[in-house]
Amino acid sequence: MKAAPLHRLLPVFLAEADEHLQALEEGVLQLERRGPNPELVAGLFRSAHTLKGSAGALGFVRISELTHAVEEVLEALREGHAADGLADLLLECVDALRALRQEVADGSERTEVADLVRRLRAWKEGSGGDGLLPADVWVRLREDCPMRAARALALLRLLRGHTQVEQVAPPEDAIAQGQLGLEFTARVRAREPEALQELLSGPDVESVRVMPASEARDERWLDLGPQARGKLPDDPVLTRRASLRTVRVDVERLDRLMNLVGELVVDRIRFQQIAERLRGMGQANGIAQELHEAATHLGRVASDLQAQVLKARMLPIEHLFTRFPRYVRDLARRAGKQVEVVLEGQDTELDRSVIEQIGGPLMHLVRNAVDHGIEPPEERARLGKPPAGLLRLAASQEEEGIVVVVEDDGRGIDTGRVRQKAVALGLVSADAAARMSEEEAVELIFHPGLSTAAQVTDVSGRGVGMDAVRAGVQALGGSVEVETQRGRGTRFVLRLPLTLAIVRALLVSCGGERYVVPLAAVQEIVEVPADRVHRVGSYRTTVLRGAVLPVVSVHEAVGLPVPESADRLLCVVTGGRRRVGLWVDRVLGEGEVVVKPLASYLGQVEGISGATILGDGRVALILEPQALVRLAVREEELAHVG
Amino acid sequence: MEAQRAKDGEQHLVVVRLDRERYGVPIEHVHEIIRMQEVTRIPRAPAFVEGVINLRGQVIPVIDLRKRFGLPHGERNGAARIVVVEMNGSRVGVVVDAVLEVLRLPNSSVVPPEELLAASEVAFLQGVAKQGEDLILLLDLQRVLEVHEQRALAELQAP
Repeated sequence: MKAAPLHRLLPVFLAEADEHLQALEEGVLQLERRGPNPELVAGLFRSAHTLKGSAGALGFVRISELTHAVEEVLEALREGHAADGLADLLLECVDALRALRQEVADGSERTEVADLVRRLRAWKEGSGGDGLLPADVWVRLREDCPMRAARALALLRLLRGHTQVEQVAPPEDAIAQGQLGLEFTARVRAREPEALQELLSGPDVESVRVMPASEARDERWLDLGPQARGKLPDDPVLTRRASLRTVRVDVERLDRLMNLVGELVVDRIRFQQIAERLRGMGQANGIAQELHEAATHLGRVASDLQAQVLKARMLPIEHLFTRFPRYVRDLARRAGKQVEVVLEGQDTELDRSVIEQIGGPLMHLVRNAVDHGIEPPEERARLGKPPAGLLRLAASQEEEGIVVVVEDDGRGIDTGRVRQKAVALGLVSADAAARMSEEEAVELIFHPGLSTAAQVTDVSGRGVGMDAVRAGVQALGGSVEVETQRGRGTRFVLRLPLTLAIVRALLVSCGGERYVVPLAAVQEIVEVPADRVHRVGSYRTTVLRGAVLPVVSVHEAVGLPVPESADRLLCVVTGGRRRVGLWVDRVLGEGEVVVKPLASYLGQVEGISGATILGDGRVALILEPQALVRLAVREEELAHVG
Repeated sequence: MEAQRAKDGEQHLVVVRLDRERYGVPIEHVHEIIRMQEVTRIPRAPAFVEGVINLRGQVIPVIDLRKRFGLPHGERNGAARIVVVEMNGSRVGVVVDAVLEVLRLPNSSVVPPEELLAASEVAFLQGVAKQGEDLILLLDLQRVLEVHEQRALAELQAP
């Protein structure tokens, strides 16, 4: 049983841990690329320190033990150079801390940290770039020491043999010229400063004092410029104050708010209808007009409110982008490649539901770019390209939505090989392949048959699963386009909606019920005479401009009786690369609808992606074109078997 | 909650009518009671799931208790209500013929259902309370909305 305070503090801790871990990871990646600088190391230190503090306060011993060890290493790093392997070690720590963070969320810490702590200590002992600790050495010679200057210089030589001497006072040439009293001091960097005491002690030496330069060090932590000064780890109050202008809100609360705003819209429509009825009664026209105006105003307020709530659900795409430098680094290392990641437009905002769902497709594109697009360094050198490939992730806002570009300067897609492969796999005829334009040939990479053929990966310059990427993006109501140039690189352009909470849609009716079809999937609406729709079992097709079009009856899909007579009204929708005609009774109109989840109690209902509430307060189901296409494909297979 | 009840020695119930029987729903599970409204059907749902409704902007499922209990289909009149119950964090509407009253019953008046009813009827009941000459059948909501029922439902939709 958890104590109540912990229960309340835990969500705050988890959210903070996420931020600090992200900051740590980013910092370590910078450290790896650019080497340590005081500001960077101080930033890392702050994150580790704050995490250690809050973990300690909540009794998460392992997190606090590991962060403590990380802190020690960072402290040792302050002046030395980062050794190879430290970045790896620290990233391993970040991974372990992430695992622990998850475990804490689920119950209790399980990941072992002892090994990591030992390795961190070992790194510190062997300490880092040079493993040297700074110290000030003060030496006083005996009054009867002969040839003081020579003696002092000899001692300094001895010191040089065991340490790095950075500064001597008085300076050595002054000593050589005899300008020496009985004392001199040296700022050194030594593996074991404590041992210097014994090293320097001798017959002519009255006393030696070695002082670790740690006090000076602590002052330097403070001296990081005005921005850093207020945010030191020991000053949580100051840090807190800065973040008071923002609050964390549970998304569920925002959803509830959104629901209520939707109800306002419904009420407004009701008021408007009442106003119409009043007017129809011929009396009280003035009041009817007033009611009408009030309702219109209410409508405006409701839609402003809706826009504000939608805005509150937005997050900068940074939340997603920040994962990629680390991801690419690991991929590149495994593939023996060098890749520079450039992120642009990180502050572009979009709905968190979109951010959650484009992660997969983006990862896929990035992985393909590193694995198959960007060449190994030697090959790049031969081609006169810089050894490190460039991978650019850029987000920007456009009128209706946002655009995410994933671009590399690798070898590009070999459309010749793609054509060959498509022909070899029987996806297109040799004739058709030859007639295809370059653009059409590139499009073949999205063909399910081609992109699942594993052996195609290396020759095409593009990997498996491109159809899944396209399907994933289309499921969000977006699109993927590709441009490529042999030897120059490939560029994927993803167009995404700003939000999934609102979707432009077609309202259709079928068997007396109304359904919503997302407009992004609808290509056109056609009317086809009943006798032009052919049928094998429950599989129907028609011919549209010379191409076979499978027909899915919405009646059948939702379990209603199929009407026999009358022409077929078909909404031609796309799902993946397939098209189907969605057979409906009537198209009622077009507009924006607020998407709501179907009650979780009902589980997943195939072919239905959610629900919305219409102007009259009734619930209408949102059809999922992708699923209906899958349904058609299944029926096609059945028809061919049967 | 059980401890609370034992201490008070009584149960607080919303009494509803379904067909000719009176059923008791533990009041702590009743979120609200609303008028019957038009329900949007869900494709391929089991028969007892009537569909979904709009509860102030939230889409909630509605189940038909008559169908759930295998009772004959009855004419719904103006007295029909949707009792919105909350179980395991989700809200579900339950259609009943009428809502009769809110009642406190001493625990001593409740007996296990097996003592009074045939086995087939017992599945959805927690107990049976006697109120004078009348019997109130105490619903076991957990069973009524049963999880494995939901799974069966999911399987039904799977290809």
